[in-house]
Amino acid sequence: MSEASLSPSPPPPLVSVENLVKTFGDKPALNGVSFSVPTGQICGLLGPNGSGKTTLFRLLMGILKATSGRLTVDGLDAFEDRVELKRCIGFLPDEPVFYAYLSARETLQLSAGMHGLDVPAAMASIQPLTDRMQLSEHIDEFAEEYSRGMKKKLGLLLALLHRPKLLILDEPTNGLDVEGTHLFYDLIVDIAAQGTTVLFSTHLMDQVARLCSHVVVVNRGALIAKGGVDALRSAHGEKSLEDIFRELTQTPVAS
Amino acid sequence: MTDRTAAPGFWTVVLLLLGAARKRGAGRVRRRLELRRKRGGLAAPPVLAIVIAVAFALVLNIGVAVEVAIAVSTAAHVQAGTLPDIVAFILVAWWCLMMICQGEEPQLDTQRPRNPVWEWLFTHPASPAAIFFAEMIAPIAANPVYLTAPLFPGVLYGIAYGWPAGITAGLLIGIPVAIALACMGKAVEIWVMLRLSPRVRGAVLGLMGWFAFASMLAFFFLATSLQANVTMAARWLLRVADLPWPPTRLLLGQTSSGQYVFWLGLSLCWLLAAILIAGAFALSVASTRRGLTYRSRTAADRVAVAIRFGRDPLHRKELLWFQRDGSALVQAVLIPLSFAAVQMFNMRDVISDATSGWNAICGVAILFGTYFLIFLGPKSLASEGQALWIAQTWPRGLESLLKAKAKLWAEIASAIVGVVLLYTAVRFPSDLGGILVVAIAWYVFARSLADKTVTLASVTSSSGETEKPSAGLRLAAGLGTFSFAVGVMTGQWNFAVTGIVYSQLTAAAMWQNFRHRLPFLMDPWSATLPPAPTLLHAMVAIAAMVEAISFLMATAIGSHHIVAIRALVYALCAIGATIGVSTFLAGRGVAQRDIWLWSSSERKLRPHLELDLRGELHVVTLIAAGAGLGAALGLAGHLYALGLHWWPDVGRVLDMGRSQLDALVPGERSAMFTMSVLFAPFAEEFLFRGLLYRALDREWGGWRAVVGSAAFFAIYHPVLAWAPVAALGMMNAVIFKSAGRLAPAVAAHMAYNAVVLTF
Repeated sequence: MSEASLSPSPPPPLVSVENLVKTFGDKPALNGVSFSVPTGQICGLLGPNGSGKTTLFRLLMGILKATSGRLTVDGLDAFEDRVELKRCIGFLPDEPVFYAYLSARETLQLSAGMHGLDVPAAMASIQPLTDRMQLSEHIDEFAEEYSRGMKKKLGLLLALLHRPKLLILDEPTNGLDVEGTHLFYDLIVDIAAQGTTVLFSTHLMDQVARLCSHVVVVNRGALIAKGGVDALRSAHGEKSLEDIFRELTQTPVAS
Repeated sequence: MTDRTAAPGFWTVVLLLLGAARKRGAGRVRRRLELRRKRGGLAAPPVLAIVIAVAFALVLNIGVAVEVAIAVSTAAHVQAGTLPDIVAFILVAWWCLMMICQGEEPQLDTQRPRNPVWEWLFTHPASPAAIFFAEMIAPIAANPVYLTAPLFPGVLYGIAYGWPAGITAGLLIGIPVAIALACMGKAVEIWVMLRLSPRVRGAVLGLMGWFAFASMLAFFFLATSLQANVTMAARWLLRVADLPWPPTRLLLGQTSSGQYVFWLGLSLCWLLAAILIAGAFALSVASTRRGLTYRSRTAADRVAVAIRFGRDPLHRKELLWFQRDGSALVQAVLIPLSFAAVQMFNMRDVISDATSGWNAICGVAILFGTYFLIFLGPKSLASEGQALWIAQTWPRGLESLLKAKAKLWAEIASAIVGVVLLYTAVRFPSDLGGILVVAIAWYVFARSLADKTVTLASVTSSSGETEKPSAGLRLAAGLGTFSFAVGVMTGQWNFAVTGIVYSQLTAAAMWQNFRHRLPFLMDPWSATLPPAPTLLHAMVAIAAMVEAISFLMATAIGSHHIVAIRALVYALCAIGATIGVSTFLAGRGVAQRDIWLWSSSERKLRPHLELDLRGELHVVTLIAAGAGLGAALGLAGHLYALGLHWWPDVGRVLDMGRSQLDALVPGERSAMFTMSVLFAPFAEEFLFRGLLYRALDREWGGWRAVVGSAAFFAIYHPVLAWAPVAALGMMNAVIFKSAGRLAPAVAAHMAYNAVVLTF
């Protein structure tokens, strides 16, 4: 398999994964995955359901510990330095659930406080984004009574509150309407333009084609392709990404 | 293919869903057992668990029926008029309410209400009536308390009419009544789930679950002194006898003339059941009219008031939980209060023996608060529910979260205990000083106890199963928990102090282990133990030694008054504990050398407090200096003993001990001297400084660790020796840390003991 080379003089990668193995008891979840995400890029993590995407994110968040291999973000070990690392990672889970007794504003204030930020300043700096997400008029409602899309938006605000270097989004546009989806697209591009590295998982090809400069494809816990989107395309004879994805994931993994 | 074959009939749907409900009931038991088996523990077959549940339900329903019969006849002895009717009404209505509140199982964990799958069910080509009917009688299939409910009317009719009629009534009356009560319970649940906001919902379901639970317990406790209770209640009930009480006797077919007419009771019970079922249907239809998911009535439930509480964001969050979420009161106050009350009931004999003095009342309050915290702590993470992921994105999120909860739990418990202490202060104003000291001591104790019990938090895994900590860990947390309460209650203050010191140290030990386990809450596959020797290792070793000594002294050796044998027992146990723990630690890669020496890299020296003498001075110099300091402290110990003579009573006790020592034959004296000077210092320095202080220094550091380890050292000695022994403990901790080796501390201990015993 040809691995597409990165750009000629790559900046040091923000996320670096080397030979990552994670097993749950005797059940393997990730099997020797290696890739890196260059600083300031948008990287899509592609894979069918149950391919190990969420496990990879939890490893990056320091919630799980790798069985073997190395996982660093900004030079820090994802597990050993997890306390320090959480200051520079923002995370949006697939289905964010909130405290039933706190309003969206109070949830944001709580999280700002727990990150050690100056709460009023942090709330003021997140205000433009709140307006853009059309959450401002609902900010004093209970977050748990939001619709699914609004919860996703609030989750994104929470993830961006402490100005992370790396933004991890798990299936970000699941449950969003068309308008919301496009809002998310624009935001992700803007955030990356400001220097934040974005890593998001998806199984939607057009999202990758539209947003990503880089792509990592996993299937059944193994890495099957990585590199620049254009390079990947040219390596597979200018097929659509959809076709490349299906071709890659249907190839039985050598065992 | 026609529609008829595609759509299942009414009864098919009902039977299918009832089968699912039955599996749900048995499945809960089975899942729990499977989880335990997966973790390697022994698991009883699920059949046994189900048999126990059914047996409990049988005893409950038959028992309540018998209680009703006895209570009514007792009431008839007190007053033959309306009183039996009133008693019967109260008990029967109570039983009915308890049955309505049962549901599929009484829910105490109110943060995770069952998720109804109605919307999914309605995507099938089945009649809505069948789905709701099945849903409403589902509790019968899932909860054995409903299954055995027909016995309640059966037994009552059997007592009135004889057993053939009882069996007939069980079938003809019991079954419709059980169905009616299950329907009503489910209908209320449907209404709660669809019509109430998530915050109120948890509270109402929690209250219902609590009521069902508390009622079951109350019925069991009521049986212990039923007649006395009824006679006592009769006095109050007679005052309200003029109210229009319903003629409950009619439900049994008893007419006003006292005659029993079976068909009259039967038809009235049927009527009542029909009304209940119709009401249940009406309520569930009314609830589902506006859709199958909750929508807030107004456009949006806006947050009304946000009060600022202090600066700690987590503390504020927990207080907002209390302010807004109704289930908080149920979960954090009502349920722990009930469990504490049940335990108090179990200990009523102990308590009634000691309710004269102020300290007895304070002790009872503290016992209550202790139970409260023991129950509440392990619930800490369950109440976070699915929002736990937010805490995991914060630096140090879970640790601060649990510590904040522990603080809040201690504050709630202190508020409850404080009310009783305030009452005690009003009743015994002259003992205000003592009560104040107890109040402060309680808060210190409560903080450590709460810290300790939150480490037992069960975690909800992503699959929704709650994972409980191991039984060993729960046992470790429970050890010595009641010393403080019992000490205050009985006025044995040394016991109370021991309880506080012990609790502080256990909390530190458990957090040392828990902090290591905390990152692996979601990843038990990667969890490893903290590096040995931990504080828990030290505490277990010390406890094992002390227990062995007291066991041998008290039971195995009758001649414990012979000093030589006491010395021998002590020496043997001390050596045994030291060798035992050394072997244990060797298995974990810790050599003897690692205990006797303390490397500079491992010792975190604080600039103004501690010196690093290792390498600066020769070992022999250090040992000599240690011996000199020990001897000096021994002399100070003699001065302290002289000072104690200021109090004549204390002086008399001291002199008595002295004269006993003087009366010893020379051989005994030298045996005791050998033990105290040559054996005890090695074992005690090894355990208290080499293991305990070193591990505590890792946890607390600085003077707190010095004082804490010395306090723990002191409480294993006679009360009058606490002060000098604590001083020795503090001195030796400082010596150990600055010298980086144990030998000078051993020398100091030897010199101290020699000086104290010689003059």
